[in-house]
Amino acid sequence: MATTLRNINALAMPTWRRLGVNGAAIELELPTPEPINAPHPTLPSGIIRTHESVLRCAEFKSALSGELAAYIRVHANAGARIRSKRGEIVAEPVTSSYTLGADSPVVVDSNVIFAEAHSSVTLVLFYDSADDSAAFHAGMTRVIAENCADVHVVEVQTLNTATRHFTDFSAVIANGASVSLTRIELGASEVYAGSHMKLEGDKAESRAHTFYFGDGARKLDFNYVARHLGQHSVSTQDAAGALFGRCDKIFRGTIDFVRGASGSVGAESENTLLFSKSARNRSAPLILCGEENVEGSHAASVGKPDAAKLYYMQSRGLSEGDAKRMLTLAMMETALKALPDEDMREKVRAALAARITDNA
Amino acid sequence: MTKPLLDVRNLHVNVGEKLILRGLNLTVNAGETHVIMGQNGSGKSTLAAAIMGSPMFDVSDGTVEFLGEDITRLSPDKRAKLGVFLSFQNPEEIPGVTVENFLRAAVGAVTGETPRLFKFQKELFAKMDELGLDRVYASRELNVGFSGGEKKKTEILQLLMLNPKLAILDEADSGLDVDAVRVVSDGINKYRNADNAMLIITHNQRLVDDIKVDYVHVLDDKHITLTGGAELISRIADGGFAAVHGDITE
Ligand SMILES: Nc1ncnc2c1ncn2[C@@H]1O[C@H](COP(=O)(O)OP(=O)(O)OP(=O)(O)O)[C@@H](O)[C@H]1O
Ligand SMILES: [Mg+2]
Repeated sequence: MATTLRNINALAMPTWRRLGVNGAAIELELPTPEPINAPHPTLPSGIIRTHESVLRCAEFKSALSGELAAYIRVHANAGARIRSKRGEIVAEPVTSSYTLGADSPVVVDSNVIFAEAHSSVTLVLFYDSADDSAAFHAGMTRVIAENCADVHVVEVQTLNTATRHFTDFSAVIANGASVSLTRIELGASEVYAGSHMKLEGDKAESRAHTFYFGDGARKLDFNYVARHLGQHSVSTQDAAGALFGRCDKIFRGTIDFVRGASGSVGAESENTLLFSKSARNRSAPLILCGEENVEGSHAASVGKPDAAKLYYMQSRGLSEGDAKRMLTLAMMETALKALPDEDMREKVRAALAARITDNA
Repeated sequence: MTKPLLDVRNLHVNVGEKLILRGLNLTVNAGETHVIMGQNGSGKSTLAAAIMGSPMFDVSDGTVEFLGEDITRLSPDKRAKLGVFLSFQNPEEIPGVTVENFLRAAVGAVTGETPRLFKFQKELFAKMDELGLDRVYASRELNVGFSGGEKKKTEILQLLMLNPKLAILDEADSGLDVDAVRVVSDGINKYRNADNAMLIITHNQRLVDDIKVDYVHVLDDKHITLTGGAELISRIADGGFAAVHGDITE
């Protein structure tokens, strides 16, 4: 099924035409996935399996692409569908790990989280490659957080650089509920990542934290939206990353204050370390105010690694490559805190360190 | 005859167009402690940077040799591996990297083998205790939010952990309280032995009160104008640089 996706990661308000950041159009062969051997993850007590139909009571928007979301819905060959019961605070995460490669070249996962009122749930998703073969991943996670529920989703992507990776996240957040999404994007030939947080209730909260590593001629394309409807709702979008080689990264961050969302606060920040003059780094922050009594802020820092810091580190025996690797790993630490255990964190650090040896 | 540890010859150093050192000579042998004094802006830190290999300064003429090897064009990490260490006048903050992780990587880089975690921690904690540095600092980000004195103690901690052949201390005592100066000079004395050497840059007599000093050099007019023994320190402390101004050895 060959398709051209015209409006992937499109901005809510196409105001940046000049810079060509409104959205990407890409040619894509959307594969029809074979069934894969991916058992539903085991569930800790307090969490039960559920069905897609629970999502019917909410309206989801895809920041990545409506077309892709529809494809994922129809063709999913994997996914976790979980429901945390009212009042259940479950610290133990639900974990799904996918290993793509010659044996499972196409993974399309559709995840569903329904967090009942006053419950708490964590879903951790790993996407890794078994070999060097070109594979395809498209995934989507949809979340309903009822009143005062607390949902954490962590995605760690360490795919090989021949694999295409599409990931979409969409949450509907009720009164006093909070949803956090943490993404660690280390690999793939192309990363297209969307996130749409719909802060529907009063005092709803969303956090999106992203760490990216770009190198070679890879492409990283992010589109994050926080849509404030409820009063006193709070959103943050933080991204940090390091770019090497000739990679091309764009981060679109939109805070959309809808009329009536008075007293709401939205903040976005990005911190990019540019290790290469040939890397392309674009940011498109957008703050839409349909309401007056709101506070939206944007902060960005883009810089080369500080020569004085590199010299200081080298004076202790670390090579330039060691120093760059250390500075890049340091930028990932905030995102890593979202992972529930140290073994997982150590694995991800090793995965990143190995990628920097290749090109420092 | 054994080769000198450090041999600086006819060193000329520029920052951009500005010439900061012109024809400086200095020889340091194993087992010796040298002190460099000089007015603010005379070029002491520049000399330290040129020996360590800072990319911010250009060596436009002259050479730096270490154990007979010309290191004038060597990168700082290679110099560190040969055994050169600089305690910075203004240590850099490295966000996101803990003292422990940084030092473990540094020891690994210098010795060629990353030390086992538990053995390393034991040694690190022992040295921190000696320096009166709270162990919680091991897991703090290197120098981030450290007080001036804490930064200086952390530099000495790195000196003790890396155990270099030549330690250059650039105002290791500035900003330290009386007790901390004592702790630092104790640390320095623990480090010094017959096989290594020290180059101490200081404005204060106190640091070197308890340290056996072999040579004192005065840096003035872009080079070393006077070399003497430890007695020079008190003469300068009492009468300022004017008191020794006429005594020219070169
Ligand atoms: N990066 C630089 N750019 C321009 N000038 C510089 C730079 N670094 C040093 N200098 C100049 O070189 C001269 C020597 O500086 P240096 O820091 O070596 O002095 P110092 O003897 O260490 O002084 P202090 O006792 O104050 O530490 C000064 O005039 C200083 O302004
Ligand atoms: Mg100085």
